Amino acid sequence: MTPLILRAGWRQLTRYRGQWLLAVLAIALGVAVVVAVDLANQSALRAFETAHEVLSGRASHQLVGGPEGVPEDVYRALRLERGVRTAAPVVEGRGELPALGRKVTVLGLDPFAEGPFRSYASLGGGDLAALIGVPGTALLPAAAIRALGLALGDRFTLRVGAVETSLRLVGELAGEEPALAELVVVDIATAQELLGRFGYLSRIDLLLGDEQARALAERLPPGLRLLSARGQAEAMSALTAAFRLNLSALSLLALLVGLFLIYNTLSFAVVRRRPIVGTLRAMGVTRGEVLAGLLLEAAALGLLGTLVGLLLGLPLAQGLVRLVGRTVEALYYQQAVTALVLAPASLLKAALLGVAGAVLAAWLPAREAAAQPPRAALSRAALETGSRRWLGRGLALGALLMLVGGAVLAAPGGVTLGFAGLFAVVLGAALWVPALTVALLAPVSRLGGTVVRLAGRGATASLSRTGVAVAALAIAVSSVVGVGAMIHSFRGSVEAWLKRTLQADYYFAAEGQGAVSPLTPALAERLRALPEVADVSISRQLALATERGPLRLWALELGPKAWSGFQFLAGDPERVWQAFHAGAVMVSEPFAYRHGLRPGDALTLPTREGPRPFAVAGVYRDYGSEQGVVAMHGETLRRWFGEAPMTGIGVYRRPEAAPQALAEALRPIAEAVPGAQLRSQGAILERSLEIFDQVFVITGVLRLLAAAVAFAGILAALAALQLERAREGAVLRALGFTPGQQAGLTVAQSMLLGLAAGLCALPIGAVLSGVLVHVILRRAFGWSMEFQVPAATLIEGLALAVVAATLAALYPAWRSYRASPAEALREEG
Amino acid sequence: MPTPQIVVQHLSKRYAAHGRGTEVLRGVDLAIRRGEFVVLLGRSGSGKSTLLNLLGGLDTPSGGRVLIEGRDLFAQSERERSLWRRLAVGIVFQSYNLIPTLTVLENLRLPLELLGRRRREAAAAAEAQLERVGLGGYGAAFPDQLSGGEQQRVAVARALIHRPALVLADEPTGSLDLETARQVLALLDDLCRSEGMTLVMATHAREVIGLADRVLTLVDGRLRESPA
Repeated sequence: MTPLILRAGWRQLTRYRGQWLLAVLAIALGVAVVVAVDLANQSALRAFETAHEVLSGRASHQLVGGPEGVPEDVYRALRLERGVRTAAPVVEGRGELPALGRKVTVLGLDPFAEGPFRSYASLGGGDLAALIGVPGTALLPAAAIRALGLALGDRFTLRVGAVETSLRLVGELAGEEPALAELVVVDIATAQELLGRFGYLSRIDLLLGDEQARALAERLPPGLRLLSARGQAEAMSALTAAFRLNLSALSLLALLVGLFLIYNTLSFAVVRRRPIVGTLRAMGVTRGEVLAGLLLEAAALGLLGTLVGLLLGLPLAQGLVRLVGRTVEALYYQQAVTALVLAPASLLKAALLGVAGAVLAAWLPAREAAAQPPRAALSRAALETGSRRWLGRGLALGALLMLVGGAVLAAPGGVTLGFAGLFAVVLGAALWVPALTVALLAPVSRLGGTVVRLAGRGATASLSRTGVAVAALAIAVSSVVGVGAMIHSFRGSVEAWLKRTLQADYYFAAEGQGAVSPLTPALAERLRALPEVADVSISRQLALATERGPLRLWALELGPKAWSGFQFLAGDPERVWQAFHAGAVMVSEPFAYRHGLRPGDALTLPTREGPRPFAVAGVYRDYGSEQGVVAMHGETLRRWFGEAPMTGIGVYRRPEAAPQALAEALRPIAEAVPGAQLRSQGAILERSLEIFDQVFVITGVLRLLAAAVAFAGILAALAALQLERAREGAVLRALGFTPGQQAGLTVAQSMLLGLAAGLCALPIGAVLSGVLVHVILRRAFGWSMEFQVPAATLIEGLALAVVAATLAALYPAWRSYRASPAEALREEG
Repeated sequence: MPTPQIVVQHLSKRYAAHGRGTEVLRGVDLAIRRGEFVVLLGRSGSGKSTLLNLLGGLDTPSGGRVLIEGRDLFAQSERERSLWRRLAVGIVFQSYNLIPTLTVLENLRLPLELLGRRRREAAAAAEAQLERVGLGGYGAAFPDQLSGGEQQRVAVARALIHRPALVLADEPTGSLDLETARQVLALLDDLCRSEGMTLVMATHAREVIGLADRVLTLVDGRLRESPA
């Protein structure tokens, strides 16, 4: 291949600078979104891993017990009688540094046993002897020491539950891992005192071979279980897997739109090159040489776009990491993800995607241009005939993809398969968009005066240029509509559930997660005795460590007024309550979905007397936790798991008592109980919906990014179209069109395309949201919900499409307004 | 002697290319009477199309004036020039320049509808005009379904349908074979003369000379009058 072929191509690119800049922008935006989401996900995952590493160290196994934990005698027996030397006791709980307003993990360790497990505790500077020997001493990470302005020997306050304790700083934790920043390390005895776990350990970390682990597991005292640490770590990351998968899917949606646009912009570039290709072919240049030249250009543009995309992606990733952190905190009560991890694999993946995507996107139009006989390559009519032929093929292929996608969605499977089905359906629908655009705009092409017809026909005349851009816009808008309707359905269902569940007028909640709750039976009785109070309900929560991660038990002592707060999805309510009071359990919908449970099934739980089956009486709706919850009567919990701290008291007003009177009666009681929070039903509802909205901020941002990518595409398409129609515009000017009319025609054509894209996007968006609600959310989180597509969302989608297309037309319209007809006629003549 | 319809005074046009200017027209002076058929001859690049573009207000001069019925064309706004062109000018191009997305009939209706004529009225006039150029029955066809000669006849019909006072034709036969070119020229001449329209035609075709009232040649950016 002579370099002249490449030079001809290069000069064409530089001549239409705006066009290749838009191609680079489309690639860059697609790459930026993918790399940013990928990096944010990697950062979230890495934050979980480091948090686990910091807390569990290099343990291979963990010995855990019932609700109280592991009796400390077990540790002694393990080391002395069983000869297990690589064992370290751990007492763990949550607290807060009030001076910083930051939640921390309180970790009680034995520094002498720590050697093989956690390096930072035994290597920390300062006085380790004091940590072990003097009660009320602690190690803090460097960042916290700086933030608190402490020197060795200074005191600081730690709050656990309602209790504030003054601790003396005796050393600094060695290490720079971000997860360390959330730690306060004390010795075992201090931790037991702070967390109220006298005589008990949270767990014993062990380093065991497979054989040793098996031998130990066989001879464990009742109520103790040996768990693999790897399983715990996996359970932790599995918790957020669905969340991360959802983000990835949204980024892939942006990439899909991006790929459409890369295809679109590059096919413009190739299409503009057709006369040159025709001439080159007429001069004897082979198809292969033409193809190679075009693909080489696409690769160069892809590389440039990728580089710009990576540069754009990093700050975007920073922003997303913050949003992901907030969401993860709100959803999973895990520590915030704040550090951006630059995973080389993510960067490489994005780079490959950008370059390979560009080459792949250019492949079809380039092959088509190279394959045309020389005469046809010069003819515009041949091109449009070709693209009309593609309309039929698109319909057939689209129908096939939608059928396959529908079958995949109907078949049982996981979230990934669900997304695969969804993408097939969306891609199939996208292939229908150009044909639907022609059909939708056909009436405009027949109605009205010649000028209106001109606008209508002009919009559909250059499908080879506009078809893909319209499809990309339709997909972007459908994702806005679909995700919007999904969020609306979700929010509506959560709001209805909250209103139903929050039956009490006021709730007392225990701040923090201390073992000693500020809420006591005496407080409950005092509240019950108030003349304004009809009844109180009591709830306790307990997390049990299991091989599949923490299992949440919820113990309830409810009056009949609270019963109606439960919406049973399976099981007869009357029978459920009877069985519940007789010792059976109820499970939340996500728990039932994850474990395949139905009323009448048995659920085995690790009680303090060993594993025991509990009858499942009913399945109730609950959006509070995606892992799921097992609810049992307070008496059942006490019988099998021991006493658990009270976490909430619901207060029901007597109908004859004034709401204000109840509020006034409760306020002084709440103020007298430190660590207890009093909230009204309305305040909890409001706060819960606030958290919900916060969780979906990131979804909104990604929707906007997809729309931005589509906007860039439609702008590129119109700019290219305007360039190509310059001669037609000049003829109209020669016939007497004013510059304003000329610009108006450009805007009108774009608006029509936007309208068509919007109209196509509405059914696609409705299907998308239905699949998200009924398949993806169900499979990812186990939640079912009321599906609604609000008219406002549809109108918003349609308006977005038209406004985006109109805005995208402004620059091309301005150019056509300013264009000199004589110049256009001279250039093309 | 009646006042000329078009007066061109010291008209010049300079194009900037690669930092150097090329002066295509150098002080052209010209007066054209109403109903006159003027032929512009000259080599490729001699400035014939540029002069036609300036006469039609499609381009702006570097210097000099064009007076139409005594009014300075370039003292008017772009919009005013567009409206004047809509009303009083018809242009025939070498490469036909029919709107590919409109049918033949719709191409003919367009100038009339731009002038605010009713649709039905415009359609009837378009049908009649199509008959006049011998293409009755082709109204529903799209331009790319016609031969080159047929397309140029449609282009002539479109340029003249609103009875413009001035018709500008830029190499109207440049893309046609000899026989078809003759037919198109005869048609243009016939229609313009029968309606009393002024026709200014840039061409290479020597056979036009016999039809013209006046023949002008552009050499080095200046006009020379030749005997018709």
